[in-house]
Amino acid sequence: MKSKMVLLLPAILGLLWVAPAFAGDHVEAAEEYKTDSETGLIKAPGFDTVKNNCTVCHSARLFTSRGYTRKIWLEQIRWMQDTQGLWEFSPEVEEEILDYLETYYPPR
Amino acid sequence: MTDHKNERSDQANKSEQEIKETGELTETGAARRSFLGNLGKGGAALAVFGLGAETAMQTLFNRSTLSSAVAAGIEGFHVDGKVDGFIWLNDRPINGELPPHLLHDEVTPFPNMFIRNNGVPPEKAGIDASAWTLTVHGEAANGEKSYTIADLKEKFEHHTLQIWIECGGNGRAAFEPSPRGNQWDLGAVGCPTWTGVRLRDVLDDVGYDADKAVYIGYKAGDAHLSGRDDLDALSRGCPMRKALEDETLIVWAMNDEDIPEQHGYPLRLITPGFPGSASGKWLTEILVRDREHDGQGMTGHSYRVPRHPVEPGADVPNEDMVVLEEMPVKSLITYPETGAETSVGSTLKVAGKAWDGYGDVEELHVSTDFGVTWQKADLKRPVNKFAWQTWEADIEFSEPGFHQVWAVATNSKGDRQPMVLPGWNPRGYGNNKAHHIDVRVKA
Ligand code: HEC
Repeated sequence: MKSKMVLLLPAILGLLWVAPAFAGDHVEAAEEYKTDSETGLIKAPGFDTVKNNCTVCHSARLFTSRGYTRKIWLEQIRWMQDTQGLWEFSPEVEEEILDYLETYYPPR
Repeated sequence: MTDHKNERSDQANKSEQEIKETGELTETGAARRSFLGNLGKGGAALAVFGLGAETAMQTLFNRSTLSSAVAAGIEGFHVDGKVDGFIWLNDRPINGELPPHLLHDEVTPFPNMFIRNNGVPPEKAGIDASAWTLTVHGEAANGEKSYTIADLKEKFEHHTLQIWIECGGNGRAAFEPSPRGNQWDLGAVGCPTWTGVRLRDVLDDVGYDADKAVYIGYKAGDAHLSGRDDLDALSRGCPMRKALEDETLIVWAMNDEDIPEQHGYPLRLITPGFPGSASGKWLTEILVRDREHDGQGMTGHSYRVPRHPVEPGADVPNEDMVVLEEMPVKSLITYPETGAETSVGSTLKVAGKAWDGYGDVEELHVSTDFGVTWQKADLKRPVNKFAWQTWEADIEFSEPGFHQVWAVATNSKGDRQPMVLPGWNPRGYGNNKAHHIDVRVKA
């Protein structure tokens, strides 16, 4: 009886753990943060920078509906800088934006 | 124009807030729909499982990135006059599509016509249509000529044609890995009537060097999202062979009325069979180019597909990308809505639309056994070239249970829609995978 209980508890915990792993890393990373009611962006480190630079022309929905790799995020930023009037970022700001996007909006 | 823009962003923020208030989120609607679609949309067991699992996960982990079961698109956002059930993918810029059962009208009325904007449209109230001009010029044109809408109406023969327009990215949501851009599911397509003049007649009136002319490009009155005057929101076009076709039109009316604000008031181009972006809205200029037009949306990866097939997720250099021209043959089941019920022995009427980038669809077949056997549907001839064609089939089910009806169109060249996803491409264009609905059959 006792040994059964002992086995059951980790089994339940195990089940709970499977879900986030299965749902994807971004979900796990975002778990502890709230979302911004105005933009729908996850309020994690880098949020302010991303909100200030990325929701000026279009809603955040245009880039949060799916997630991408860091490489693709950078490509997208370069495309907007080359053809859509997006301004240049300092290396630190670019890092911050890419870190945020890569962490909270990875491919899924 | 600036005021108009501000208004838009207020609207955008408001709707985003409302989404929060209704408890959930933005974005994964389209993705989720296509996921369910792949597995059998609306299947009772699946739907319950999907909903249960998602709700449980949200409660357990307070997830912000999972959509609620009901949130498809943006709730709280609306364009006046559009039908309930319109799926809003974005509010800035405005992008929205229809579920297939709302595309059942033979001639798509305004409430059911999808919207794909790349920028901010000029506000209708601020436009004096009598002062609107179309200017034709360019390297291969014999000079420059401007026309008011009254001039176009007076000078050239009028044509009213029913012509479908489909966004090049319609069906994008199904591709993996996910291409950038609006995550269209199935309904970024519609087929109203358009009234105007032939582009060819106008080009002839201006005159151009037929040896030099390669392409036409358009310029339009919508503002770039950045608000910068030196950038075009979209400036695409088509090769001369297409520009000179009978059905390529400059139009001022949709369904016998002024073109609605979101659809190009007061003047637009209709380039049949090509991705919708070739049918420029709020038309102000036509350039007769001596090269492939290189305006906004013509270069890089935009509205382009790989010259040769590539593996999913491939990095394709710009020089290996070619302009997407004729859209592939496609069809939708617009009646009944997926999840319909019927019983063994009774007849279920299934109906829909079919269209092809080259003009006519020859045949349409339906299958209730995943393509093992096919039944030929009754397919109407188009009212004119590039009008979508309506079809219907009477189906009987010989056993109870969960069934699917699949529809496959065949065009005049003998090309058929695939039952599987066609080739992945970086921007997710041209998905013409066969559509299906679920049907529950009672004993
Ligand atoms: C100066 C204006 C501007 C700013 C600022 C801007 N973008 Fe964009 N972005 C655009 C335009 C224009 C498009 C194309 C929209 C369309 O065609 O619907 C776009 C499209 C996108 C797309 C979708 C790709 C597609 O083809 O639809 C993504 C992803 C994106 N932007 C991400 C971002 C991110 C991340 C930032 C912040 C670093 C940002 N944008 C800031 C102008 C901008």
